[in-house]
Amino acid sequence: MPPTSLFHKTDTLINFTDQQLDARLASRGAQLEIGPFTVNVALKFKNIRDEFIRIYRDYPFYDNPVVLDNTIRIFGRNFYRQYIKPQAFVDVGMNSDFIPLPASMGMVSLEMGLNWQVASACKQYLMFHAGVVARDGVGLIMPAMSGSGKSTLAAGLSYRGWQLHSDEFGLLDMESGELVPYPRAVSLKNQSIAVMKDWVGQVSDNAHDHFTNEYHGTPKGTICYLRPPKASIEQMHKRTKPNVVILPIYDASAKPAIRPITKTMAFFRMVMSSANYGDIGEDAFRAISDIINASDVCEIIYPSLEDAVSLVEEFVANKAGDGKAGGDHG
Amino acid sequence: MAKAITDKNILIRVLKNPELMTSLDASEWNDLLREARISNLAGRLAADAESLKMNDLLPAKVQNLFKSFTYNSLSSARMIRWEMNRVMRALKGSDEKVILLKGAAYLDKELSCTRGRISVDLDILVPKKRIDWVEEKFIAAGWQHQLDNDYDQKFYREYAHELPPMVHPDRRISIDVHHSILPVTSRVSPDMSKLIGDAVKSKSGFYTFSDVDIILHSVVHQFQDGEVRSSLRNLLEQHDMLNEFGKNADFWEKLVPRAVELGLTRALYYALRYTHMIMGTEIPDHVLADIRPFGPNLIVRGIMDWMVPGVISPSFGATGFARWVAANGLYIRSHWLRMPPLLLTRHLTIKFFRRFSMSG
Repeated sequence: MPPTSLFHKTDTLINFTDQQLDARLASRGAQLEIGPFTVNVALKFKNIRDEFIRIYRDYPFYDNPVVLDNTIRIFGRNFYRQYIKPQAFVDVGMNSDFIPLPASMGMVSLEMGLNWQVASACKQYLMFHAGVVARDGVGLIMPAMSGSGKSTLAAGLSYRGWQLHSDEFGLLDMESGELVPYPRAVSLKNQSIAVMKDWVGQVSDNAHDHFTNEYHGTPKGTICYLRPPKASIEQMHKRTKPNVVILPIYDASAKPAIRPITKTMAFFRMVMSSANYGDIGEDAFRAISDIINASDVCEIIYPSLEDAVSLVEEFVANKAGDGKAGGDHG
Repeated sequence: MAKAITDKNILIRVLKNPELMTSLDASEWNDLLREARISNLAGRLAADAESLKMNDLLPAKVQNLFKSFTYNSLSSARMIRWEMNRVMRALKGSDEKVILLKGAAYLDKELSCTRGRISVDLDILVPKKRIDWVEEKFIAAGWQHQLDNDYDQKFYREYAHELPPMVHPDRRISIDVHHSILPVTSRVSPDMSKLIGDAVKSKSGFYTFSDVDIILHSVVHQFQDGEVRSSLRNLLEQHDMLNEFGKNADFWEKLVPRAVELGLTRALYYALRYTHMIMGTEIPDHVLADIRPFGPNLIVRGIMDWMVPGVISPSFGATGFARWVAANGLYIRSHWLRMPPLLLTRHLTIKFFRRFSMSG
């Protein structure tokens, strides 16, 4: 049973059966809550609904109308585009024209639409292009560029006991200084798909149920989505203060290593990873300064997911052993 | 009739009476937020709630969204002010007035209509003889032209009232450099030397039009040159400025005579008619009486009364085919007023065929 949201204390969650959820998605839409955001999702294509239900069925859905952050509607614009040569048109309710994808791309259009809504409109939280996970009072931010393996690393940690906040949208509440979980489906690309299927397979008997179909030939190559672990979905309102920043570097030929970096470098990498730093301005500067002051920082270089997870756990354990993690020294 | 239609619109109702925000249910909030986002007025709602100190009375989710809208509009104002600073530096040594237009002018004069406002570009105006000098200075300071299409470049230079838009690659705010408030091909051509002559210097070192001329420019932009479709924000700005400038009795005495002097009476007629009809703007009776003779005949007025409220905001009155007719009628009207028939035919033909070659 998912916890009650922070935002709608009086609102009621509904436990849909798959058939009920399908019917709601096909008609007026279902009010899906992911972390701090609630979105009304309406899907006119059966194949997209099936994938959606597989990934999001354990998330909270609201029954009575609640104030929404966004609406997203995916449909064919006419009879030809709905039934003959199906093309998924994405209406994100924001005056933005999306290039429609073939409906066979399924979840890709939905996930891209949800990404766009958050990336372009969210200014109330400081946003990092980073993998973020938490465990036992440790809030870990891993800022990185696309293709650095941060999604794989965040997902990998989450299937080894960490709480997944997000694989690419780190959010910070600037008033409380806490990281805000936003556990969306994890977007895996190309070779990381097989890596994660194996990784999840090691801890789950029905690993295939955690993944969507693989979509080939997208602008980013092959894409597949992974459902976050159940515990991370249930803890979507559990916030943690950040106190570790690790810059991950994937290099297939490297020897695994933890390398020191200066806090100044970590500060600038956090600034560079933030999509809304410039818009938020002074408050964002202060928030990142506070994070870096409170954090232990390093860079890790690794040739495999297994190595990366060991390095992260080693760094965190040593710092905790020193009594340093979370301290505000430096 | 039009009044009844627009009164149903939740965005208009809340803009006219922001206290309503304290009594909306979730569905009404969703309608309001959707309308406001599409009309680019979300930041305005947040600013109204803030200035009435009623944030604490709103749903927690709305307070959270309003934070986002507020950061957005503050950021927009900061970027425009910084761009003004860069423009001032690039045009140092100008011996002619550099006049801020539209959003930048409102910001510079700290008008009430800038609260919560988002601007994405910066408009300035200089005398026509200075326009090449300004272009050279901008290019020297690193700005670049955005259009590389020959037809677009030529069209701007020959027929428009501005240079093709330029951006500085470090900042990405589009700059439009105008030499007139209407295209050179337009049916009406106000004497720019009068407008420039009356422009006043502000604290920032730039100039802005006089209060009366600022309103007339907004009005012309909306009802003569621009698109009426989804232009609720423009109408709201006119409403705000009429309220703000109108406190000065002098303003009302000058307004209609100045429109007559510049040949902008028809646009002013529509602006006063629709701000009053839609936003409930208080306009002195004698001003309404003075502008009435400049209105169109009853048939045209009837058509405009149906079209304008029907399309000014996304969910007003007209839907489906009726909305399509109204919106396209107003689009063609704005072009009709902008250029002579032969040029219009040529322009729309080129634009039409380009849709096939530029698809994707």
